[in-house]
Amino acid sequence: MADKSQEDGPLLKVADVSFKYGSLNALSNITLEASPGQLIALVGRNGAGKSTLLKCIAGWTQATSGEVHILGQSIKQNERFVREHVVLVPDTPPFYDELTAFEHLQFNAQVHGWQDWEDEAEELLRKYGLHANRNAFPFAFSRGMRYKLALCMALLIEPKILLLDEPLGPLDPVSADDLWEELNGHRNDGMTILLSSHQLPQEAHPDRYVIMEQGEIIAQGSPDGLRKSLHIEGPLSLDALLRSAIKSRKAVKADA
Amino acid sequence: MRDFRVLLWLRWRQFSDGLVYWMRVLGYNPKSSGFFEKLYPLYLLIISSFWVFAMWGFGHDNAVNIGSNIHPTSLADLLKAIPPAVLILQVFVIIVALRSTPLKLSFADMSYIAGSPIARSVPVLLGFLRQVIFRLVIIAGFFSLFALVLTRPLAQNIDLSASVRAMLACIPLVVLTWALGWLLGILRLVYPGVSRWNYLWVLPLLILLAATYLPAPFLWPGQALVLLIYGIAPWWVYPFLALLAIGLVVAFVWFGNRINMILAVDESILHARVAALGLLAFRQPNLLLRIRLQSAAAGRKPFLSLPKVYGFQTLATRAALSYLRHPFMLIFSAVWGGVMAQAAVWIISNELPVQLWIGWLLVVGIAPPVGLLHVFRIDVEERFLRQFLLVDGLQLLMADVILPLIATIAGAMVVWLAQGFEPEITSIGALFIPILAILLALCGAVALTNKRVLQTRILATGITFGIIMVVGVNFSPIIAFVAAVLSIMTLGGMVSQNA
Repeated sequence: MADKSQEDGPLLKVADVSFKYGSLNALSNITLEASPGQLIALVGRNGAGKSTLLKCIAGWTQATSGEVHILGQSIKQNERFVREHVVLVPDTPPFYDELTAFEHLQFNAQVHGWQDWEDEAEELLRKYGLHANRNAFPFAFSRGMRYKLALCMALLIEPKILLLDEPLGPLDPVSADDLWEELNGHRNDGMTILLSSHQLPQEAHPDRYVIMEQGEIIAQGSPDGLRKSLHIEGPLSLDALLRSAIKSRKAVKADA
Repeated sequence: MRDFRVLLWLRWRQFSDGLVYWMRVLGYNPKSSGFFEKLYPLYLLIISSFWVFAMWGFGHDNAVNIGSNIHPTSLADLLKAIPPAVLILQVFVIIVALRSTPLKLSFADMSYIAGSPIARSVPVLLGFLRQVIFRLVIIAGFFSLFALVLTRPLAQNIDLSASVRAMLACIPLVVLTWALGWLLGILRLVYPGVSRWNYLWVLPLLILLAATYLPAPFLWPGQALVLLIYGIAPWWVYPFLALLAIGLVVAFVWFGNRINMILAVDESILHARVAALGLLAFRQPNLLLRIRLQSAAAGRKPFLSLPKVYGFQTLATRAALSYLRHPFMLIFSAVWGGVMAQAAVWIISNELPVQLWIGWLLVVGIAPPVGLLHVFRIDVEERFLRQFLLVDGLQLLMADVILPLIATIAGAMVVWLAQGFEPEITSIGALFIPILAILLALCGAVALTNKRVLQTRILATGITFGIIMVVGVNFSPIIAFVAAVLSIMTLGGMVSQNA
């Protein structure tokens, strides 16, 4: 059933999703789709609803209305299915106080029933500069190290959809470059990546930008498409995208 | 003396700031200049005085009631148990003082007092007074009621003077106990070579061993307390206790002037982190526990390692490893089970009033064993970690609580079997202890799936345990067993769906 859906429809489908915190509309009628191997950047100001959208997709928060489908299956009825295929790494990930960094990866792999995980776990820790701290408890790590460990946990189990909330905030420039290299490799293997960020490195080329403002998507499309529709001249930075999209929206509202 | 005045003034300012902080929690706005806002502290004072008076009255009535119902043999057992209990408390105080500096510094103290040229004995003395006054109020309050339980069976009328005598007796005993702890704790800070002995704190346990074979030199403080409560102590006992307490205070203050402040700061970090939490420490006791566990594990080599097993076994072994790395949670669970079983036996065998059962239920609902759901709570509350666990809530609960649950059941079972009841009663108890323990875990787990954790836990515990108790008393144990199984199935379904 799932395989058939995978062939027929998009990997991720967010249909008309809304979410309310009390009377505040955190998300309003969000609709988007993602195919295997796509990298989608969620762009928006603080409080635009990026993190809430990622939580709704990961099933951490139940949408007030609308549906999220992964491989054609609604996440409302298939929580375990979502856990198998989607991983969200929040900006401040928590850990078990009683397990070391390496044991977090070991636990994760063994819970998923993976037999040959050790080399990959060692490699990930080495790649993210955590190998020397493999036997330390993560509560003593810096924020950047904690984020890297969370990434290692997520990448070890190779989810179909990886959701990253502000991945570049805690990382140093070298680690950020390494992350992009790693993510590009996974993209080529078919992993879909959605990330919310206020900054992207030069070499990052998302397939699509989704620009959010006050819980709504105000523009979305490919870099070239957005450059044309928003009349952006010069380099396509997140700053330029966001400013142009907000300006364009204000103009539309004023016309209306 | 100047140092003392300066630090006393600082402590007063800190106390008043702290008071304003806690009053703000209760709705007081110190920045408002309105008339009614200025009256608000007075209003809070009247309300809290009334509350204390009402609670003391409630406690008094219950203490008299228990005292009236208590069997003479139980009273004799109780009196025999007081001296060892006092000794255990004293050993515990010494252990705590030896494990970590008795002089606790906040982050502000570390910056402004530890580095200042102030006489070291001043913060030591004020720290001691602050700690002892707080404990004295609680202990004296408890013994004022406990004295009524002890004297009621032997007196014609209610003997309120026993309460007063108990409170007065507590003053030198509490000062003596904590002064001894502080003296030993401070000696450790004076001689850094001694402070490097990691297991120095184990030595006071030898006192308990010695007291088993040679009780007289160790049990006299508790015996003095009993004599003072009954008003039959020789005239010299009270002055002797007071002089001893004062002597110990003078001794630790003298040594306090020579303490190594770097050690005191180093060992106060945990206290400072906890103090910085403020209200959060009360609203989220779990956060407090995590800080303490992190502090205990920091810088240590991990004990044991995660075995290479797969699937569900991984979950169970991970939970077991978490508990084995902090075994006090298992010990506490076992002790909790034993204490609650003994309390239940005591209520049943003395046919004590139903209020005691309600109190017992409240303790079960409000304060279950700290470690019972420690692992499960993290699994459920931290969504980042939960997303990696491919099992439903009930399976997760089973894997996470199995070890502390066994410890709780074992503690309760040992106490139950030691009572020597008839085989039929013993087997009924042995059947119900595991069921009630499972129910306890399920009530806590259901509460964790809800935003109002404490209220849900009390409600779930009250309803399920209450039904089983009422049915068991009024009908038969078999019907109570059926009710327990139904409760387990219902709660299990809720955990499976929501966790």
